[in-house]
Amino acid sequence: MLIKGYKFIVALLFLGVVGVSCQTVKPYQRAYLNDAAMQMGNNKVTGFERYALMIREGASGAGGKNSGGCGCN
Amino acid sequence: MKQTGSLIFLIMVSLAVKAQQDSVFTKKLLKSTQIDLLFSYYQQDGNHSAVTGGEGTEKLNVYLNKLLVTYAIDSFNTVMLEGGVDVISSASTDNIDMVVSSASAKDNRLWISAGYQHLLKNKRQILGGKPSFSIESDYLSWGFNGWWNSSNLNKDWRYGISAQLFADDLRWGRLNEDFKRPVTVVYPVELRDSVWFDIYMRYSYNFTFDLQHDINRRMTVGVFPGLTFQQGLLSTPFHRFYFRGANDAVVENLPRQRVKVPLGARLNSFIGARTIMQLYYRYYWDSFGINAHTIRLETPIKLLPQLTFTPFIRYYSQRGTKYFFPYKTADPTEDYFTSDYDLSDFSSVKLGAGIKLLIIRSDFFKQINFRYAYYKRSDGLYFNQLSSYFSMAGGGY
Repeated sequence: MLIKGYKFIVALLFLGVVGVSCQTVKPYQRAYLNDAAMQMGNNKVTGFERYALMIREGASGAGGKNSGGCGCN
Repeated sequence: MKQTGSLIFLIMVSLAVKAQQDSVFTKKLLKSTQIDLLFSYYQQDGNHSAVTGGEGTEKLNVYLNKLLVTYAIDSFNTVMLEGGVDVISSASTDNIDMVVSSASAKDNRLWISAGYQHLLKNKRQILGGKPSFSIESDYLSWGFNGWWNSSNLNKDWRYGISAQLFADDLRWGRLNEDFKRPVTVVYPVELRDSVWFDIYMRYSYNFTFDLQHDINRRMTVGVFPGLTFQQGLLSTPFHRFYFRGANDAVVENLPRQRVKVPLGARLNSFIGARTIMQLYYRYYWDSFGINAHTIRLETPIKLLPQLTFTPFIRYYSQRGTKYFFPYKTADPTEDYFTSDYDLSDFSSVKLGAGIKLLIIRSDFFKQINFRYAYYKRSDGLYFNQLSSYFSMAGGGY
């Protein structure tokens, strides 16, 4: 019960911080947002790390050990 | 007053001339090629191999190589070709071969995929598709990945969906010189007098969605729900399992269907002018009874405009499947059982660092990356992984 309450407060704080920070971003204000490190896509150098984790942990998607490759070693 | 009038007249004339020049421009197609090379060395050890029933070495070395060529035909159309060869040396999979037996089994994984991506004329929607093919001595997989991405007019809301389909054949023999065709599912060497499974195919259907929003000029967030459905032979046929009190092994057995539901969230934010915080959380649930939480923090620091140093840490906690039993602890009445510690209760920590160098004074090399990761699992398994990535421009016009 205590843990559930703690998670709820953390989630509320997160949403509060994000909500308070909301601003409309104009096209000429995207210098930071357009930086490569701000993109949500997967970093190419981490490709094989993700593959290894898909095999070594149960919480994988379709890929690695579960499909598209044996990963059975 | 007269001078001001002359100035206005001159500005108007120059603008008119400029407008005329602009109206006769010809559209130029921008062709370009990008070549990406990725190398990685993976070294693992542990003492809970599923091949030997949950006890035994998990020593493993893998060399991974990948080549990706991306060719932009014009501003709207891109084709891509990628492939790789993994060289695997594994102590635990000795005898996972119908013909030879060696002190340390070696295997290769070859894979290739080719894709096409189209940017629609409104420049806000992307459609793409990529078939794939992968082969190992005991495995062949056909796959297809399709995706659609879009954004609003301001590009501060972005959304997308992707679907992956895989059809995997778990029969051995294609890479063996004597057979060169699929022969049989490979069981542990002492259990090959029985047919344990009457199926050899595994089908996977994977859907991922993403929704991203720019909160302000320094912060962006994304949520990534997913859904995966699998059916067919979901256990690995050469994993041994020992029931309580038994000296003889049986083959691991898992249900023929599995549903997986992951939900990821990410927040990227600039802190100051040189440091970026990348925070990631993922929750996972599946019908085997696995629940997992992942949290990861990466902080790229721009030491110089061309040089970025990225330390990272990742914590993972997993509640294992109800079908997992350690060596010789399961009751023989169980229908489904495995001693694969990848599906057990555990937590893990991964940490390391990467360095990225942008090369400005070269027409060929564009970017060089190196990254090291150390991973430790609470059951004792660990791995070291060293990766390098090189991005090159193959010329454009």
